[in-house]
Amino acid sequence: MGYEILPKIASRKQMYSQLDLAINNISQEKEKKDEENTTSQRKYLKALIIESNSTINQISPDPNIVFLPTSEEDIKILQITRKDNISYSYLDMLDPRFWILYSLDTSEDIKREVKHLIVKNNSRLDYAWFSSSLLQSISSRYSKTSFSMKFHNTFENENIPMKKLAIRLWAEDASEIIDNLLNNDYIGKGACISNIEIEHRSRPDSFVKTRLSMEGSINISNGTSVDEFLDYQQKIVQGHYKPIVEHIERDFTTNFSLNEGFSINGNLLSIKLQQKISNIERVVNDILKGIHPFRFVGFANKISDEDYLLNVLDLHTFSHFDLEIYPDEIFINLPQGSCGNSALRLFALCQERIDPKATLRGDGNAIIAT
Amino acid sequence: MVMQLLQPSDHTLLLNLGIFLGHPNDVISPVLLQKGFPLKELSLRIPTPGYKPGSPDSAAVPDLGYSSTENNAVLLLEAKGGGTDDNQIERFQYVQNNPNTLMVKRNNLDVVSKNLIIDFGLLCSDIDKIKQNHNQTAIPFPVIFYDKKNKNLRYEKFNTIDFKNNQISSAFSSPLPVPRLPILFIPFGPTEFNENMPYIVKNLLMLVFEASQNLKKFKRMPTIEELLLIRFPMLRMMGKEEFDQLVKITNTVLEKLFPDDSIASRYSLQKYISHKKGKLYLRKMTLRKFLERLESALIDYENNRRQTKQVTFAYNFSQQDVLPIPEINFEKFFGKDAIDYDEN
Repeated sequence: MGYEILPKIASRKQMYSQLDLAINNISQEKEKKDEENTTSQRKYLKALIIESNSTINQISPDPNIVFLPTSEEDIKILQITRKDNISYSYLDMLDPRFWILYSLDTSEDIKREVKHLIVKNNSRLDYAWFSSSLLQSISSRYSKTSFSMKFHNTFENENIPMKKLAIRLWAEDASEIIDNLLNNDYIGKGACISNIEIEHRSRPDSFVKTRLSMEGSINISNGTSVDEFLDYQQKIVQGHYKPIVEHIERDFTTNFSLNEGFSINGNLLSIKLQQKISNIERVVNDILKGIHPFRFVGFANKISDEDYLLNVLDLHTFSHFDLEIYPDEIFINLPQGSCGNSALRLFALCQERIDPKATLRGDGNAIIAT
Repeated sequence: MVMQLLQPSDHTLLLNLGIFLGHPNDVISPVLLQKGFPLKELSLRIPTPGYKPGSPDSAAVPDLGYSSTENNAVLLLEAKGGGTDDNQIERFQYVQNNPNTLMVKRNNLDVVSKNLIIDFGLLCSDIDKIKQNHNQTAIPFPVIFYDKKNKNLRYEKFNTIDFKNNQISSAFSSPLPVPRLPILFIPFGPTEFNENMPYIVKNLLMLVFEASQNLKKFKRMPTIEELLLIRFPMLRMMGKEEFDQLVKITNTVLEKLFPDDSIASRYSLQKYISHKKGKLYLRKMTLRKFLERLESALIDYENNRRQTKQVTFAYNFSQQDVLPIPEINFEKFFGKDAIDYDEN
C-alpha cells in the first residue's frame, strides 16, 4: 500500500511526522519495486522553495486552491481540488522570505499550481533560482552526484554551436563526468547544469537522496528520516541560497545620498559572458516581453550597436532597475530595496539560454564561487 | 519594438569614468580608490565669493570629489567634454587656497581644514581643445585625458603641473585601459536634461508605477519632484525655473493618462490596473503594450519639440512666459477608449 496523499495536519510536529512517514514509505516502496524489478511511477515527496515578498494574506490563489489554517501561523495547508480529487500540501513559512511547499502530488500537477501562484503579476512570489554555477557549487560538496544538463539557445546566438542540449545521467558518482563535459570544447559551450541528485548524510546511519532543480524544487527519492531531509534543506536554503540573496541586497544595490552634492552608495553587479551575444537586439526584445521566465518589462535605449541601456520593471516585485548590455557583459544596477532574487533569476536564465559559462560578479569577485 | 536612441555626451562619459576611478567596480581598475581616494561626492556645491544660494552657477561645483581621510587630502576633478572655463578655474583656485570653504557645508568628504591638501584636476576628452585653451590662458591644474579612440586614460603633463599628492600622481603613472564605459550610474550629465526628456518621463512613469504598487496603507504617494530627485539627483543642478518646467511637463503627461481630482490619490495607478488570466493590464492594455505606446508618444513629442525649435525649457520660459504643454497626441498612441477611460 503506497503513501498516496498527505493528510490534513494541525501543527509543525504533525507535519514533520507525516513527512517522515512519506520519506520512509518511498524507501519501502523502492525496495519492493527493486525486488519486483518493476518500474511503475512512485510518488516522491517534493519540497518546492518559493521566494516571497508577501504575506500569505496578500496572495490570491486560483479558485481551486484554498489555504487552510493550522494551529500555527507559519504553516498552512494547501487544499487543491482537481476535478473530483482533493489533495493536501503543506506550506511552511517558518522563514517568511523562503517558503517551502511540501507535496506528494505529481511533479507536473504541483509545479503547475506553483507556477500559477508565482507568475501572477501581483503575487510578489518567485522561484528560488539555482543557476548552473550554484548547482555545481553545491554538488562539489558531495562525493556522490548524478545530474542533468539543459541548454536552450533561445536567442539563436551564433557563437554557441548548438540549438539545444539535454543530458540526463544517472551514475553512482557522476562528478568526474560533469567536469569532463563542462571542459569539453563542444559540449562545454552548452553545458548548463539544470539539476543535481545527491545523497546527503549528516550521520553515518541515515541519509536522504534528493534531486534539486534550477527552479528550486527538491525531489526526495529515498531516505531514512525527515530529520536528514530538513538538515539538507536547511543547508540548501539557509546555507547556500539565502546568503547570496542577502549579499546582493546588502552590497550590490545602489542609492544616492543627497547633501550639498550627492554620493553613490553600493556597487554594480555584472554577468560576464564567455561567449559573446551575436544578436543583442533579439535578447533585449525577448527579455522585456513581460512573460515567464524573465518577467521583465521596460524600455530599451540604444546607445550603439553593441551597447543597450535597459530600464527594467520587474513584474515580481514591481521594482525598477537598469541593465546595460554589451555582447560580452551585462551590467546590473539594482536600486536599494530591490529584490536580490531578480538578479539571480536573470543570471540563472542567462546561463540556461545565453552562455552556461557566464559568471555573476561584483567588485572584482565571483558572487557564486564554483 | 520601439527604441530610443541615447547618445551620451563626452561629459556624461567622463562623469561615469570618474565614478569608476573611485568606486568598486568590474569595469576598469579603480586606481584612485586603490590609492586611498574613494569617490565621496558628485556635483558638490562649494560657496565662493559671490555665491548665491539657489543659483548653482555662482558656486564652485566640481563634478567629482574624492578624499582620503587618512591623509587629510582631497581631489576634486572637473569633467571637460570640451574646453575650459576661466571663471570656473578661478573659483577652483579660490577653493584650493581656502580650505575652509570645504568645511562650511554639509558634505561627505570627511576631512579637516588644518593641513588639508586640496588637489584639483581636469578630466578631459578633447586634449587638443584643452591645449589650445592652455596656450591662451595657462591651466593651473594637472590634466587627465580620456582617449576614446585608443580606449585608455592617461596623464598629460603638457603644462608641467603635477598633483600635490604623489599618491594621486602614482595612480596615473601609466595609461589605464578603459575598454568600455557603462552609463548606468549617470545616464546623462547635469546640463543635458533637455535632450533627455523622453528618457526622464518614461523612467518617471516606471517610478510612479513602482511607488503606486508598493504603497503601504496610510502612506502618501511621493510627489513628482521627490521621485525625480531620488532617481536623478543631478537634476538639482538645473535652475529652479527649468526644474519647475520639467515637473510641469511630467505632471501634464501623467494627469492626461491618469486623471485624478484628489491630491491624496494622485498618481496612484491602482484604479487603472486590472488583472486578467494572470496578466496585468494598465488602461486596458498589457503593461508591455502601454509602455511601448508611451515610448512612441514621447519620441514623437521629442521630435516635434526639436522641429519647432522648442529646444530648451529655458527657451520656452523666456520666450513665452507660459508653461509649455507637451504636444503629445495621446489618442494617436493610446486610442480614444483608453484616454476616455471609465472604470465602470
